[in-house]
Amino acid sequence: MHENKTDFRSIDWLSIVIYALLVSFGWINIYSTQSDTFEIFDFSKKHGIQLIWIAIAMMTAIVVMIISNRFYSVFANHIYLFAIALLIFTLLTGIEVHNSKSWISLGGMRFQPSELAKFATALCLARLFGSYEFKLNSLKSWTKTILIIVSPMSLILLQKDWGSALVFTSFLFVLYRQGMSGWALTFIAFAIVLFISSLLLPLLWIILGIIFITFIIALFTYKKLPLKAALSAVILFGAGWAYKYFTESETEYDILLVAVTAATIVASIIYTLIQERKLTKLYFALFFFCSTLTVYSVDYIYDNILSTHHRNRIETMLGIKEDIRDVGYNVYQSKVAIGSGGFYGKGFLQGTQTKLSFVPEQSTDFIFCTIGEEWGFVGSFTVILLYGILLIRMVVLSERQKIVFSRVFGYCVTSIIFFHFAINIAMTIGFAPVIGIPLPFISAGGSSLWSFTLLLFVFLKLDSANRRKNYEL
Amino acid sequence: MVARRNIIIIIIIVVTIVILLMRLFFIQVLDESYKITAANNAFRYDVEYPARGIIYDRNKNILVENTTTYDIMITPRELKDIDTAELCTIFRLSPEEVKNIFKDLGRNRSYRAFTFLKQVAPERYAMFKERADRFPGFYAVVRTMRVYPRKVGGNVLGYIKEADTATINRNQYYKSGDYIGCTGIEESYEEVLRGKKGLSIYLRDSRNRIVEPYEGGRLDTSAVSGKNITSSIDADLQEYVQLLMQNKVGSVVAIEPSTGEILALVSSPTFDPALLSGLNRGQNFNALDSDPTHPLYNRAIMSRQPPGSTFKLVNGLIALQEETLTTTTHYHCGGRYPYGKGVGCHGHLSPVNFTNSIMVSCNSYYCHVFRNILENKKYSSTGLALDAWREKVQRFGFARKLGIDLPGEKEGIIASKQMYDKRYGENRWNPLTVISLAIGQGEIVTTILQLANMCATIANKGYYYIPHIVKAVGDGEKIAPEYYEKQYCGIDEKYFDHTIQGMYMAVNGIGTAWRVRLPDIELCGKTGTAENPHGKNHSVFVCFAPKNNPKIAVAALIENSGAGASFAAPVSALTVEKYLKGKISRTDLEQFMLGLDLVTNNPLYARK
Repeated sequence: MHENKTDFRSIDWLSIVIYALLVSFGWINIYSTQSDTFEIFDFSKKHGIQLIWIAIAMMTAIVVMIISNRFYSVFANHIYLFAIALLIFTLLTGIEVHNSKSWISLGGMRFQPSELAKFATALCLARLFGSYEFKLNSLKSWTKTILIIVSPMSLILLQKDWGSALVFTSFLFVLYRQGMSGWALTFIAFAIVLFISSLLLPLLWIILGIIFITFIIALFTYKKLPLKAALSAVILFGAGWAYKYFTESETEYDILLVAVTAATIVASIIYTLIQERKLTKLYFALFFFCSTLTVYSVDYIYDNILSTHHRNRIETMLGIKEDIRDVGYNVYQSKVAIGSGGFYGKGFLQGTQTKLSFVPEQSTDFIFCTIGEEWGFVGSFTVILLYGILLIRMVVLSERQKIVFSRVFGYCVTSIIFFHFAINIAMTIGFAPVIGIPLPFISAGGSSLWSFTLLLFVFLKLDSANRRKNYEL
Repeated sequence: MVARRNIIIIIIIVVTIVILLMRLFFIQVLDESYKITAANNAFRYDVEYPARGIIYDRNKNILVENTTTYDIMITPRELKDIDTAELCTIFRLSPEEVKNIFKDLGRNRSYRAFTFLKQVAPERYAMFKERADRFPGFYAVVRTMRVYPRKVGGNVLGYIKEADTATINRNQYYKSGDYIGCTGIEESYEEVLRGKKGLSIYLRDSRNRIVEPYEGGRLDTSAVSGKNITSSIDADLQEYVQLLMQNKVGSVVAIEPSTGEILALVSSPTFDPALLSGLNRGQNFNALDSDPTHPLYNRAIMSRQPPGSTFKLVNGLIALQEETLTTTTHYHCGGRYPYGKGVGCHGHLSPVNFTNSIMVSCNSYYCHVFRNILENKKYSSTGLALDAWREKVQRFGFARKLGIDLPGEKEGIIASKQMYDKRYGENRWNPLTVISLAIGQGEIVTTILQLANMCATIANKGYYYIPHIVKAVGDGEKIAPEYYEKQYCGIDEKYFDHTIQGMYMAVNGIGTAWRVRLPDIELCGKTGTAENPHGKNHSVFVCFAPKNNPKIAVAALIENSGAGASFAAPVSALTVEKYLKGKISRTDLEQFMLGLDLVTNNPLYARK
């Protein structure tokens, strides 16, 4: 078992240094939010408790480095099942905090099992992909993959912890890396854009956009698409739009307009098909009809299926509703705090917005406000840069892994950290709805610091094993 | 293909980071608006409350002034462990009360202050101030409270209370916790009395300590004190009339005819205005509000009653002006007016001329007079004649708001063609159907203010000034210009002499009000007895004095008492004597009125 002795030279020290910087900087900002005291070792305050958690996280990191790298692949499924059991247990006996029943109490310490579930799912997914000749190309393999991701996700959804559940969607990156069609990723991205734009823009503009994109796809697919047909479609559409504009007619004309234009495009394409005798590449037609359908159904879903609570959050995020008192209060105050930091910031302990309780959850989900306010653009730039370096470094390290288990696990860790990082900062600056997920390594809170440490160091352990020449499977 | 995917993932990461950084650069460096808002958050606005104006009576006696009290506030965030026992001693609270307040506070740790105790007396505040350092998180806000040295005129003065949500939503000026005038002068002159709040803006640091005035105090505004008000009320007279009206339900209004200034306005039962100021306001208000005699109701301007025979004065004047009556016209009275359903009268000399008809208050005479008004050939129908009459009555100030500077004035009712057409059908009624209008009964309902104003109009021989309760604002500033304009009632001056002579004779001849004759005062009066279907008649009296160059006109109504001459007349006469002479010679009347109790043991006013 000579490979279990950790060779210090084989550890990726760059990642560890960034980790240490983020954790320390996080602690400084947590300390700053607890403005009433200057006592560093005050264990009744968040920064004092955070010190204990940092110690626990460091011990965890050391233990991870000592344990054999094989432990994780061997016990991946056991850990996964344990995490699932824990989630069910939480659902039955958990403590409710902020409407989510996602906490359990362990001898006075509160813990969020969903944090362990992320780690467990990452391990289980890595093991599945690492199994002999596994490829994401059969119904069976897809079923297994989706089952592994969706099981913990739905249990967390049942706990009403939306934020943590959404984190599991970040595994899409892993699936993409492991062979899922790039179209799927594009499709999802496009669906989000379509959803948001159909709430923000007038229907006609969106349809116009869809027709335009369809047309471009069609042009690329069929290079000989007759120009006359294309032109007539555009003219027809423009005439219809002008008619609508000048007569100020109501929306019932929209469908007619779209239908006529679509018919012209379809006709011109059918004409081309007859000419070219190729019926295979129908992507653009599919695209057009799916998109149009989506746009029309979004309004229905939005008005009839989503609850007012969620509608408010979405509308506030999209800026449809300027509501600085109610739902938008957190985001508004958060933007004010960050914005008031300016270029250089107000200086350590000098922030007023975060201290005077203007910003809620200032040490956890909204810790980035303190950073933005007290350290300014310089501080937020530095923090984001550190995350950027860490994430890219991890992609590079993952790619370097010789065995699939380690590589998939690496991508899982990267995806989770990336999702948390991007969504958390985006929500503090009003770019994402407030779903309440912590900023990795920085936010106060034991479960999240511990689980991010675990994720990162298990991967670093795997990587360290990978680097040694005498590494054997 | 798969090998390239790590690059695509890196690109996604980089693009995300670039978007986040661009947004951060925008809100942190480019967009100035967030800095301004942040400054707003870090501001502390200190409101300076102006002193509310003082209200004087016409002789510079103080009716309402201010005293300073303190509201003790708590900032929950700054609260530390304190000695609750000491807190109890300072504010005279029981430990349970303090415990309850802190229980309400719960886990609230915000910077938003809330009120711990309201209206703490200055001596208690002094004790607190000495030891303020032992109570971190506690501070005091200065508040002014209304005090009433004369304890009179509750209905006239009104009171102040905390502005309710509806007011705050309607009017930008008021914020939660601000006081606003309610009823009386406090309400109608609210904007004059309240002054203007001042505002100081300070920058505060992260520990909520004030660092410096914002922009060196350039934007600060200082409070402007409310203006003082001089009421036309004579506090001594008001006090005396209130005393006379004790244990009676009704109202008295005294007007100076030459100016329209109200000398006394008494609604009885009334209340001590001090009850609605201070800590027990809510409790006292509820008690007054549920009192079956309705002390909060300002009867003088709100209660509408038939004027009874006092209205004969108006009918007589209108008939003279319309020339359907001359001052020499005599009518015989056989104890009743025999036409139609008939109208009863009392025993008096007969026949009577116009002057004597007022002196003896002959019902038959006025039935003839009123029938002639309605059968005037000038008008093509009785209905039109009635409306013409109504119009003339309105010019005396009836069936409309006079425009007194008090809130809540009521209009009253005067019969009209439309009203009877609706009730009886068009052309289905005649002068005899509505003959009770002749003697101020039926579809005539007036306020006492209107009757007092009518009396002042007669005293002035044809005009009045809109009655008002405020003489001057601030340092002798004039009030609204309409209060200085003569309002003519459309009756020629020459017709008033006989009316006034009749009123003079009613008191000083063998008339209805002979019992209230005053030595050395030429009192002119007219009794009225308003029929009341619910109990005893309402006693009504209008009078003015002296006969030449009148100084005071009074109208009084005492509900459920009896004849006008017996109850309302003594009160009115005493009011006149008190005002003109400053002392009472008719102590017999005074003793009678003071001893009269129509409220206690009266089932009408029994608490249900």
